[in-house]
Amino acid sequence: MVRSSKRYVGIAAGAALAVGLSACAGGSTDESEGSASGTGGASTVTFRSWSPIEQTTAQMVKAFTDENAGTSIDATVFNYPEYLVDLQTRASSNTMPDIVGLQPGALTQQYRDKLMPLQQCASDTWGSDWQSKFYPIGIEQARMGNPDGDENFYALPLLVQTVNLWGNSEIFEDKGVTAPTTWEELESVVKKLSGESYAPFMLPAKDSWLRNVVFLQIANNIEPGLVYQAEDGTDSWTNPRIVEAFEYWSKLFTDGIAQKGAIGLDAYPSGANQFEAGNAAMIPLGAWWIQQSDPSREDLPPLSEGMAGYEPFLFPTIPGGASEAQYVGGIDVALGISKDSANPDLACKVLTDWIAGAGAQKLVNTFNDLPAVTGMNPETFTSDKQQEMWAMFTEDWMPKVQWSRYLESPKVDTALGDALAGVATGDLTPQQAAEKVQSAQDAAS
Amino acid sequence: MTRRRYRPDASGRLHLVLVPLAALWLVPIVMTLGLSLLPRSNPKTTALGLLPESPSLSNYVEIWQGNPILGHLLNSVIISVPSIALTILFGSMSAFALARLRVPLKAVIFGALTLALILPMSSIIVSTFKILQSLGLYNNLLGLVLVYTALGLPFAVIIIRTAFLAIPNETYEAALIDGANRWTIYWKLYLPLARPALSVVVIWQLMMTWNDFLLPLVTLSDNALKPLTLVPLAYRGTFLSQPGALFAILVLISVPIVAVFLAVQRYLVNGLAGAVK
Amino acid sequence: MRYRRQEAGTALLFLAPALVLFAAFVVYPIVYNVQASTLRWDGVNVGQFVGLGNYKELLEDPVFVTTLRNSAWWILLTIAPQAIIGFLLAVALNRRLRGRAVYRAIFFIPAILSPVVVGIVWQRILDPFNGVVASVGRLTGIDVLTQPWLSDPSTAIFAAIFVNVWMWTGFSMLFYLAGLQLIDTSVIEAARIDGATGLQLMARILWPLLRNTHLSLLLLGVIGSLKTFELVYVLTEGGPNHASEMLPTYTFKQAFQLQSVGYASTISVVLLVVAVVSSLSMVRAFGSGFLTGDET
Repeated sequence: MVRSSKRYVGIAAGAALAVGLSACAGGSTDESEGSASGTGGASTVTFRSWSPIEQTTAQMVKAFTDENAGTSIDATVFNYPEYLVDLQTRASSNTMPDIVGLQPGALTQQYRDKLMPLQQCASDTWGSDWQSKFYPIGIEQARMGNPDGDENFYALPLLVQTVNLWGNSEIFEDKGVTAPTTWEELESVVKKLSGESYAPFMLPAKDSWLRNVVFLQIANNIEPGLVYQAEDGTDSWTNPRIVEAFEYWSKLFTDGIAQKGAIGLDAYPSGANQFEAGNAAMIPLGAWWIQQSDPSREDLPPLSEGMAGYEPFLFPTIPGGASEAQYVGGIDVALGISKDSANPDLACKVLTDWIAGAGAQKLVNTFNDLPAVTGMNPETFTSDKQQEMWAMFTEDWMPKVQWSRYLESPKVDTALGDALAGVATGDLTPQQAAEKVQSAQDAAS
Repeated sequence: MTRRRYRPDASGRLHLVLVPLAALWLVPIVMTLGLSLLPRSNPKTTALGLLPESPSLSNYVEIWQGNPILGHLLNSVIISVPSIALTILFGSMSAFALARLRVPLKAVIFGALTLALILPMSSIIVSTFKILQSLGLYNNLLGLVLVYTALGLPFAVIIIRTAFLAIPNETYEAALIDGANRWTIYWKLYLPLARPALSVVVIWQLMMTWNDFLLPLVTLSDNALKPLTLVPLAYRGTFLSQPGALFAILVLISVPIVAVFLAVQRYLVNGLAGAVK
Repeated sequence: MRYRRQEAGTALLFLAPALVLFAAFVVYPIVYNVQASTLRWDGVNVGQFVGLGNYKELLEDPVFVTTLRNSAWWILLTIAPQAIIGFLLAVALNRRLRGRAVYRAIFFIPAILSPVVVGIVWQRILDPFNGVVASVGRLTGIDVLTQPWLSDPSTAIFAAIFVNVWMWTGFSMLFYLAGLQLIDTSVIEAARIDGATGLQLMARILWPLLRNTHLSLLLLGVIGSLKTFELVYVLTEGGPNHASEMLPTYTFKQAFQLQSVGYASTISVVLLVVAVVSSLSMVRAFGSGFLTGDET
């Protein structure tokens, strides 16, 4: 008891001090004494992110530290919602990690003042034409949302992706169908595949991000690029062509294309697990699904072994819309470096190694997603199908990606996700949904 | 019921109700265990989706090999045990004051304490972090102990005070007349009598400290200090479809709490009556 | 008088450690939230003072109304079932009964599972396409079981409440078990000698004697309902289209996904006010002894 009473005298003093600090909310944290980043000394950098997955990150860390004796990387990878909490807390209290994972647009912009411009690091490492190493969509999105006149790169893309549909090849073969290329074909394929134990078109629509990427694929197939004009104010969300996209989204539910209860199923782990177990013939995901065939993992399920049971295809074209299916995609994860990093040179070295060096090779070897730079390929493929698929993604699809899978403003992004859920449940008509997004857009700008 | 109580058929009838109810209650738990045995090589399930088609311990092996589970477990214990002890001590002291002593503004104090119950961790995480930082407790397990104790106190006070109130006031007065001071009455008389309530507090506090991950996530930076709850985060990615490993680690995390529950529930069988008289 | 002052001094010593911790880790965060609620602020960059602007915006926010309605449903539909089932289980499992410890553990385990597990598992159970409940429904022809409970905006909140009852009933049982230990067994013996049947004993003797336990559970239930977060977040993410949104899930979204820390703090402050108001109205309803513990 005596000991603990002494302890709380100490705590009392500390608490009084803490309350005395007051006025913490809303202030700038720049003046604070001593940064906590790089606590491990001159040869350590810290890294926190939600992607790449932990097992892959561990291999990348090892690749770097093996080549650079005496350095160490303290990496922590965890789920995205918690990552946002962690990043905000650390950025507002000077404990930001040296290297952070970022999404392009809103997230990067929120932390812009805490991040180091990276073009110097990039041109020192790769030469002045470094931008040509990357897929164009990655370079474009890395600066998404920068204020006018600010040409800095606060983040560099690590992984990129397309968003698209995946089919179960076994089911397709069994039923003698091919991947639908038009909306009519989608309807007829779904009809042919229904009544079985699997869902013809599994839409795991509980997740806002998934609803939005499916919608963006539909909208761009109707009128390529129009949503982005609506977003920058040169057009409107209530443009009839965008309302039409909401109508097609609605048809997924009302015309029996999506499975029952689609709006309650999450993509990960439930939807993905069902697709992998053969309980769905088609599912909207993206290029990253190729990671199911990661050769560094053992015991892959039969469908995933060398991608044997899967085939990617683009969202079908819409009647009266663009004649060709459009490519939608963008950055999966980008990396930034804290302005307060005690070790910016080492951080730059790690970042560039992971994007295009030995670390990147490890990353690519696991098929985690598509690399942000062109010309990097896995050292081993486990099947011809997997190799062809990889080549198609990296050489054919990715260079053609013109349309972003993200909207710039998190408020409009959320409003769109909400509106799509409202349409899916029948609470909103397509017209009302479009109006809701437009009013969120008006409020945000 | 007295007379029926010892007749076997009464318990039999009770079992008739309890067995189906317990079975129904178990369905999600069976599914949890089932999914933790779902191997990556065969994601198919059977028995209405409750059990894996080919159950395997591979997930447990994987998380055991991939993480220093025992080290994390030790950290969890280092956080939970002191926090439970402090909560019980400080909470019962406050409860004693609020139940048996004349405290000015009693209603205000008690009402204010309940405020701490309502604060969601995500709303206070940033400000709590700043306090810990200014106390020099960033990256320190003691900081977590103090925060959990503070947040657990209101619950402890409410529960223990209820138990203290059930102890007849005459007992207290008699002890005072016998010349016992208040500290002795609290420590020697009240605390032992409140054992059932204390066991509830122990379990509650254990659940809170054992399961929370947001606070250790932001306030700890050393891998060597991380508690068990930070392990599942790595198995819960946006693009990660391996529920088996996630469930296996979460099952493992739950095991110690079940063990503690089974251990303390024996304090829930001794009636108070005999002890007081 | 002197005796009184001395006792107040002693009482303060008993309360001191709790109050110190409380000041540091409860009062300060509240002050911080109140201050942040007057800002338009993303949590990282310099905020801009907007006075009561956030509060005005909140009052006009339709999602806020939904969260209040959902909280009311949650309070109404979790507390009573959890109390009644928990009480009955406690009475049953307070007797000498074979397998008592096993039963207790089974009913209690849901409360200790991580909400992440509970959310994912129940999503799979309730999935109308491939879930357990729907499969049983199709096998037995009971059509109602195949409803998309979690994905229909009119039922999502109730499905979440149902899961909550499953999760927390065992905890109420534990409470009542602890409460039953505090009942003087001579009261029960006396009633039995008077010929009370089992049901009468439960309804007329045990239930009223557990008044303090009921009130504690009521208080905890109201507050627990208001602060429900993880279960809803994992189960429905507050959807579809905010249909099952609760105040804390909305706070979380605003603070970390929409970068509106000022607005999120406003919701937190309102949450605190709602909690205080409900505590006070319970005081009104049950007398001030409800909070202070003085017999009324």
